[in-house]
Amino acid sequence: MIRAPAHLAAFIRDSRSGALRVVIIALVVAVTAVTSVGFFTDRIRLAMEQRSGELLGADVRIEASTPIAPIYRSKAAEDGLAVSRQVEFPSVILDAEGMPKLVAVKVVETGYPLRGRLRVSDQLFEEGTETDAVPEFGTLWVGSTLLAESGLQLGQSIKLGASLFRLARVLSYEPDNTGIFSQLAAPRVMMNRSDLEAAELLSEASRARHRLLIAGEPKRVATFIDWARERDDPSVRIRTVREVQPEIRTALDRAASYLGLASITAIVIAGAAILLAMRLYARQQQDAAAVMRCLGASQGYVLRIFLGRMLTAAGLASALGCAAGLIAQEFLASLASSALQVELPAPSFRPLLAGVIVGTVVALGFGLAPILSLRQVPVLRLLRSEHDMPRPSSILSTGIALAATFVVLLWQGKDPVLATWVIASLLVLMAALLTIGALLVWFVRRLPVRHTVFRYALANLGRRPGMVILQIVALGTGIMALLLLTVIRVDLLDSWQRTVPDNAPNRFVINIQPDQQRGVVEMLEEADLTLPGIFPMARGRLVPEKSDGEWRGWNSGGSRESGEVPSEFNLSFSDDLPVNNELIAGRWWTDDPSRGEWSLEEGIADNLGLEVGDTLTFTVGENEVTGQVSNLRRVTWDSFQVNFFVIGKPSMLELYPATYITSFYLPDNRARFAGDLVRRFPGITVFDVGALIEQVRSIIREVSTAVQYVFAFTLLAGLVVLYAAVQTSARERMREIAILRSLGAKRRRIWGTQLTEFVLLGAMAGLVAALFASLAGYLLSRNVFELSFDPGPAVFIYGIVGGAVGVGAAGLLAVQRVVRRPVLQSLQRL
Amino acid sequence: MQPIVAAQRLTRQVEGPAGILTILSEVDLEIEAGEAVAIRGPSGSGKSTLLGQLAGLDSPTRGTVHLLGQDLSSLDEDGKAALRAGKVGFVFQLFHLLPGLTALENVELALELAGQGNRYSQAAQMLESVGLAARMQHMPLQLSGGEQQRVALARAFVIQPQVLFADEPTGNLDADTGEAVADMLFTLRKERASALVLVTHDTALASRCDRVLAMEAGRLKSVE
Ligand SMILES: Nc1ncnc2c1ncn2[C@@H]1O[C@H](COP(=O)(O)OP(=O)(O)OP(=O)(O)O)[C@@H](O)[C@H]1O
Ligand SMILES: [Mg+2]
Repeated sequence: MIRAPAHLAAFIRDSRSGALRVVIIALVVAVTAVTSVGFFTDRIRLAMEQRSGELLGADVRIEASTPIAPIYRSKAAEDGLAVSRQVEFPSVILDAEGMPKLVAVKVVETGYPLRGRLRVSDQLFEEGTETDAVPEFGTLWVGSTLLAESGLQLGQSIKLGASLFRLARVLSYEPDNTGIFSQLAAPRVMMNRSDLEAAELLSEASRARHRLLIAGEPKRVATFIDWARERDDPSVRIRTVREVQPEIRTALDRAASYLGLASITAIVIAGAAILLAMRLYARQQQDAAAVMRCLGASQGYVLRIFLGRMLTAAGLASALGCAAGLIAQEFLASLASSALQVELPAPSFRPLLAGVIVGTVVALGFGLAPILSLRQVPVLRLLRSEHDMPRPSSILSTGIALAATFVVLLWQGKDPVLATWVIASLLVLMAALLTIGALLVWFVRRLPVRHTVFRYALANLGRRPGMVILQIVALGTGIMALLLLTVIRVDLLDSWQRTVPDNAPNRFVINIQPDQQRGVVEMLEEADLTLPGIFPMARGRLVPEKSDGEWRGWNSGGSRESGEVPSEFNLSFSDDLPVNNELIAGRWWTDDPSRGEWSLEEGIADNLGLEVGDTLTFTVGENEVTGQVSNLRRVTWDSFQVNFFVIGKPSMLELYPATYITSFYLPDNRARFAGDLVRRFPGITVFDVGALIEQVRSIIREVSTAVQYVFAFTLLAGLVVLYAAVQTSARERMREIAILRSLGAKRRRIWGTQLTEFVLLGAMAGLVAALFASLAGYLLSRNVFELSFDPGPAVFIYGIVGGAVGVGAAGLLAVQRVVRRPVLQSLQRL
Repeated sequence: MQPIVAAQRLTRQVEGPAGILTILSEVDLEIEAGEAVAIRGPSGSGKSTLLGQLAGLDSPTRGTVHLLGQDLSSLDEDGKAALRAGKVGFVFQLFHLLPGLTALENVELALELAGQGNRYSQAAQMLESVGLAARMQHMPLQLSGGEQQRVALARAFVIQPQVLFADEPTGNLDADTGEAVADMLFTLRKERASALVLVTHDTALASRCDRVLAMEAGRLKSVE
């Protein structure tokens, strides 16, 4: 090898040449995009998970029906995690008339909730103010419903268990009480843990749920979860945020897909720029390689030299990109944290590593093929300059580039579905782009044009069809990504936001007795509140089935322990498929009334390991109800309609006692209506899921904001592609312009031909891009985001006009210096 | 003694738009160690093609070339490169210095590829002997054509080549500069006893060689 300083010096001098500079710029953009997006999504994700943690009141919750072994608490404390114990059980108090009233007692200790905050008030059904406190010694905080139903007043003392408690405050909001089915359907009473023993309430703990709330730094929490899962303790359930709310889970998954897509796009576009620039760089370095070969260097030596330069470029660009990424994400985070109204947690350092790896892999993936050809440069070109190195094989370059992209995708590893989709569509895309590019060039060359400026521009495009097609492919990819992220992003975000409409039901009413059903419906209708439907519901306990010596009904792999499969289900029955559900396997009920049939939500079927045709049994009351799984449904969870995991055929469940459930949208200014409803129909329970809806909405909003920022990098990468594409032909253009001018061509004419050529190139790339952006948007929305989306004609207008204007402007900018420069000077520089 | 370069019935054909084009036709040639041979001929007669064949930069369609006693057809590309390393020097009409390296580094590169140590002092000494001691750290583009060609001479001779191939070494220079470069070329060759294969249009330059061959439409014939 050349002495290191000489090698480095040569590299630095090389990097001043246009091509290597483009490679470095493209790499910096790619690495900056990956690291800043990585850092940023990391932090957003952590923040969102923390916020979702509010629904648990913790990052993770250990739950059991008996007191939880102290080891969990001491281990968590030892790991530096915050812990708080909680017990929930039903009990009875006496109302104002001395009648017994069932209440859901929640016993908490200082620190509760570890995530989110309680809100308390002195009035019924009020918004309340946030507090970090818990009920003091000898006092209770109670839900509005309890006061409304029992006639008790704040300040009054009541007996709970063996002790006397003062009703101190109204509990307006518990962050971890938004799940509809997750708690007892009785009004809330909250007390301090230090009162528990004296009140002798633990005897009632037979029906208690014990919970250990744990929160802290994500890494430590993850370690703790691993530790807890490894104990394989059948008496406890470990609940994490992702397992609580399908609504939140869906939103988080979509968010991750979105951000992932955005950063992948930036990588691929930057890759296109690198591909173009590395080809140019290799072309420029042919003489150097030939001289080395001529002086006796082996092919391996040539490869090492140029690979070394490329890797040095990658290293340099990665370092710059990582630094830029760190700065950029800090800026993004400061913007975002005011929008999100949360303190973003510190980023992890994984993205830095990602930056370096991505920089290297992308550089190799998109730049290796030309370097490999450089090794085979004919030495004869030193004698006769028309001898060129073999063109890098397109199959090889494409193969390596796709492999590299796939490695990056897998390494980022968050979404294999998305990764596969991206690779598959890239493959199809390239093939299609090539075909269409070739067709366009063919067509354009045959246009019967008289105007000389046009004719000359067309002839130029036709002269090096291979290069023009390559430019169309690269520009097309860039413009496509831009279109995907601008036009289609807006549409996608719109349809995403529409999944949670403004009037999404924010109150759920359960425990409606059959004789109250009509009354509730009437009262809601009188109040002009829309009611999507009222559904029967029976409580059923899943009976695991043993077949082939294995327990069916529980997915293997411990999903039962991880809490993904509840053992109790709310079974509904219905003649028809619910409106918001989509049948994805099997068929709706058969006509045979004697046959038992179930319809399962796809996710729960997967967790239970059940398919269409399997048998499933529930205990309802004292009876066992058995049926076959007839079909699977897809449920739009974030629509916030009443949805059921399990629906039975009416003939099977009608006989058993059922209650009814409904949901409706209650505008904020009519919050008191809920109290009126409860007073008129004693025994029913109204849940406010407004907070949950707000959570999902804010996730959507926050991610939309994040995507806007990420978009900036993609735009930047797109511009680098433009620059690279123009650079690849800049030298020839300069020569041509200089010669034309030496022959006396007027500037106007030169501007005209150049502009026409660039505009045509841009328009063709834009057309191709719009075509594929629509297709990709359609496929992505259906298969990855599970949203409906119909591409409109606007994409084409933006694509063609944007491509023409963008490429035209970039091209003119690139050649303007030559047009202005005195002819002799430009000829000398060539 | 074995000839240092030998060609037997060397033929080179390429496929052109109008069928097969014969550029070299049945060329026989032997060059002894230390001998200087000029190849003259009109433009397009095949001089550069012959030079490339003799130096192993391209493969013949038919016939054989022996370079430094080795049959080139028995060697692959890397084998031929290894054969050149440290033993064969080149000077081109277009200089072909590496634009990214300084004058000194260009000369050092040849030594490095020849696997020689003590490169700095050898290269510096060589540049001094072509009168470029003051320009060692300059980049090729900062040098005049004559200076660039002198760097190329330094690069070619620093490895003490057994044979030097030169294609129009003065073709891109004005008469006076060309003269100076030619003087230097012949002096260095003499000092190192290198054989020389020189392609040129220039009769005066050709006459400074031991033997002059004439190329015409792909055939070689002896003059004198
Ligand atoms: N690879 C090739 N393909 C087609 N034709 C070729 C090729 N190589 C050489 N030729 C043709 O062979 C002939 C001889 O070329 P060569 O470069 O050897 O000539 P030359 O004698 O060096 O000319 P000049 O003095 O102008 O340098 C020319 O007509 C050239 O066009
Ligand atoms: Mg020639």
